[in-house]
Amino acid sequence: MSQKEVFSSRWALLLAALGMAIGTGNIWRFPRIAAQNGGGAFIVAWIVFLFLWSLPLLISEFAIGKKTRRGPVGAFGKLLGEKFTWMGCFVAFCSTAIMFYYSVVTGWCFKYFAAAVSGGLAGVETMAYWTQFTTSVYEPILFHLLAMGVGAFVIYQGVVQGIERANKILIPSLFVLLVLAVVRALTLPGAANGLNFLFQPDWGSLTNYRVWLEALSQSAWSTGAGWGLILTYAVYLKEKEDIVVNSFVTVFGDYSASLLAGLAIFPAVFALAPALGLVPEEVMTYTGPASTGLTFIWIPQLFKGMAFGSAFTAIFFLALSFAALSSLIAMIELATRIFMDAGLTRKRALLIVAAGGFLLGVPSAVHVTFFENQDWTWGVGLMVSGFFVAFAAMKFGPAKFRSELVNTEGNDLNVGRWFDFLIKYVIPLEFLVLIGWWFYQSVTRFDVEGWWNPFHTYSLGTCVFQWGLAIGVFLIFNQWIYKKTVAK
Amino acid sequence: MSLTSIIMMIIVLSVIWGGFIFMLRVALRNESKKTAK
Repeated sequence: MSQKEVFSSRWALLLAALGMAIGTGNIWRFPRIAAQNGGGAFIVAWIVFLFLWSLPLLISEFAIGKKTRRGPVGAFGKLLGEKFTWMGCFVAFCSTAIMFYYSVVTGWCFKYFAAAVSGGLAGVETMAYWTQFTTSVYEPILFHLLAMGVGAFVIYQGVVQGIERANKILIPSLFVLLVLAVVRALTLPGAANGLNFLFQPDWGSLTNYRVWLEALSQSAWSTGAGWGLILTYAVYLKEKEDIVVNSFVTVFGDYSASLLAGLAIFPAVFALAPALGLVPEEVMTYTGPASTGLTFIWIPQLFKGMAFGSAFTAIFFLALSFAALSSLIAMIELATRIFMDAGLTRKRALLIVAAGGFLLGVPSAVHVTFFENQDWTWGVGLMVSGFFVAFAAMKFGPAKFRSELVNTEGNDLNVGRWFDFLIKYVIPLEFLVLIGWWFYQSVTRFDVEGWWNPFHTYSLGTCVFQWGLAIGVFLIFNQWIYKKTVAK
Repeated sequence: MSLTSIIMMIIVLSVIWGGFIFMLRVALRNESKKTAK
């Protein structure tokens, strides 16, 4: 299949890849997870998984997308044959199911940015403000519609005029905003306590398996490795485009953004919380409804207490909005690409995706419990999705995959046999341990009484039920999907 | 801030930010070479 749309330059491709990777996981999730898992020691484990999970999976995705020139569904069918198409469907559906509620999250970021700019956050009790916003029904839907509309508008413009142009604005601006936030936070009295908490290594915590598993899941969530998103962007690579260095830039850039967020949030919380009679460690680790505690409840509360607090709050939520939007764009493009592979025009495919995405995101916009269930189900599903990507390379033959698909003409750097080892042994082992741990946790900790119940928010049953339903449907229509996306 | 934290911070930022800047430079330098050809 000839690919008419391509990224116009290496710089444009890298910004798009960074936009895909850098999202709310960097600014929202990283500081909380790092604080909950021992700061410095967690960071060591998190860096280990940059090399043992995220990097090999991103390299694999780049290679598969560039070779097959199709989104995840067609890519699996073309690379592995008809009977594996359902695996590509699962990878694509996982990211698309996340898109439904990620648009809602992006809407929350827009709302808080607007509130910060208009002074709506001044003088309010932030918990009550959050509850009022999320229970108002119309507002979350309205902002969800706005987020989906902006994302769809970008995708409608195509790869060069849409994805490239948007990320050329969003990503450099995001880094500038994060640097501004870091500078402001580090100049607060008492900021060093936050840095101390973030980087003080408690080596004993490295013997705790939970720290390693949280580090692996943070790496997977943050970099977008195994989601099929970079696979989709790789469809638009030039014939002689590099794979390996681009993957390195993506993971290092994503981690850099996380560290910038950590350097802004930890010092700010440790400097400002004591004045309000709060314990910084408790603020940092407070999860809250839908994991919104630190970001949407404490941050606006804390930032009010400092000079230029409103401006700082606006900067924070603008950075969060940019990060969320750049990732949402990649998710919309993935879903749109699937329909385009089936022969639809970009316009028609996007219409289906945007309308469907909006409608299927509404339940998450109006019910936090539904949102939490979807985040739980498809967030954990990403582990399965990542394993499927590694499986594709494994099934193709790791050595053959490396020599024919990864180490191609145009590479600035080639990978060695270590890549085969990671794909063949390390990633499957990581997957088994991680998924086993999640299942164990869901039975013994998250929902001890109703772990089997598919209608409980955080149950093992709900994951198995929803994944099983999706896989069952994909298996029934496997042949038809293959014919539509590959054989036509 | 403790000395251990300072050392840890320097190592982490050097690896991640250093790695990012180095790889970005490799990518963009090679791109300009390809464009020049």
